[in-house]
Amino acid sequence: MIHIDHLKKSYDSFTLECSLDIPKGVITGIVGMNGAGKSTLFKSILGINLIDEGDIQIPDKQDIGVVLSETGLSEFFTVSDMISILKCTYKRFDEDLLNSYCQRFDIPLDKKVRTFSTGMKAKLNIIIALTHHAQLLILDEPTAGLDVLTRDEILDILRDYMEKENCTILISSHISSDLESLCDDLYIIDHGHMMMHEEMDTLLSLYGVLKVSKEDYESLDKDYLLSVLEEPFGYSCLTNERQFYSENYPTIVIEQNHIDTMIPVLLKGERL
Amino acid sequence: MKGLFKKDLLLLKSQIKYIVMIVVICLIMAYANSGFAYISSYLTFMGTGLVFNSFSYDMYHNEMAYLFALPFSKKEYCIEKYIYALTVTFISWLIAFLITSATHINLETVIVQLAMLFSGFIYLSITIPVVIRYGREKATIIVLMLVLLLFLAVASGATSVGMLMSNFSGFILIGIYAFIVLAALIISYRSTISILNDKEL
Repeated sequence: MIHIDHLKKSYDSFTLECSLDIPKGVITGIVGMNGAGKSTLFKSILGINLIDEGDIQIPDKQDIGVVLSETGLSEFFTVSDMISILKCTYKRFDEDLLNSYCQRFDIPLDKKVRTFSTGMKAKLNIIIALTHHAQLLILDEPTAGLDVLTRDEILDILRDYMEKENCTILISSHISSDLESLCDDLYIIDHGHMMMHEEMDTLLSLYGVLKVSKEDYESLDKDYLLSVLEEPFGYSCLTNERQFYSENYPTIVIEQNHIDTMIPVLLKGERL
Repeated sequence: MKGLFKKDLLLLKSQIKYIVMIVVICLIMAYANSGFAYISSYLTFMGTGLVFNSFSYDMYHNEMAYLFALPFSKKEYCIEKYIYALTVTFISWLIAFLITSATHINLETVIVQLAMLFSGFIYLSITIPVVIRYGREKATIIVLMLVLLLFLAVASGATSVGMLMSNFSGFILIGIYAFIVLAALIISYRSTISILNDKEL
């Protein structure tokens, strides 16, 4: 659905370099710190900014639904105004669907969007991306700055949509827990480079972070460690063979099933 | 492109009170027997102001980036903006023309009024690429400086230009001006496309 081959995009002190393939029907997450290159990647994919090198293939924009971080249609419009713009923009715009979503989430049609709460604006942006039956959703930080309940609501909207339309989703967030329950595939980006690509099931079932003292670390088999971060208590070690360590080192503390615990070790630690 | 027109027309509609106020001021000026050229230039340049408001809206919260994520290309955006800008400016001028025609209408006033319209188009052709490149606030200063330089250049050669122009009839002069406007708009459009392609949003 999306094919990116050796993309390169440079700013003054920042360079994004990556290749990725997003297969049809898969939800792919991109997680990274602020400034890691997520928005640059999304803007490059959508052709908003020119790229320096590489090749990007995406479907026709009529088939893409988009949420961009911190922007959208003018907040001086009402939702009704936006409907009339979207009708003229998307061939398959579904006004009834948008109205039903607005009703479901108590979004008024006749008030200017600038009077909405942050959560309402975020929900509206998602709704707009969904209401022309897009086959591909490109969502840059759709849950940024929202409380837990609103984030869950937005993820539920996406799950519902995925069930009905069987589309492809590329979603970014700096809140990895949002992506854990949603994505099939995950990329971790840092300083413009993809540091890891893994299926979410593999990540959650095989990966783990070992918490070991300096003495225990010396005696540890390091063949299955991916990166190591020095901590006040000793070391945090990222592994993709969690079971090996739980079987052979039963006394070691192993944190599992949370990408949030893996990311600092991966990004700040020493790669082995 | 239809969606872009719709967006700009809705933004224009939201400024309806401002537009009505401008027209009322013009009517008052006409009633007070102000010069037709003054009314015409006032309304034409107020029209260009409305055009630049649409750029301000597009740049507010980086909406322009979002527009290019929708099925609009940068080329379509440029074409729409120029059509919109020329149309709004023309309609503003036309309203002024109709208001002033009630009291002043002869060949000379028509030629002067057309010159006002073309000046509005020249102003657009200078300002649009500058606004796209630097944003509206900086563009206002830059364009003022450019207009001042242009004025000084024309003033310094005014005598020779005046002597040259006196050889032509009003119609020929307006034809020459129309040609200059067309050339300026083509150069302006190409510059805007180029600036927009390189612009980091």
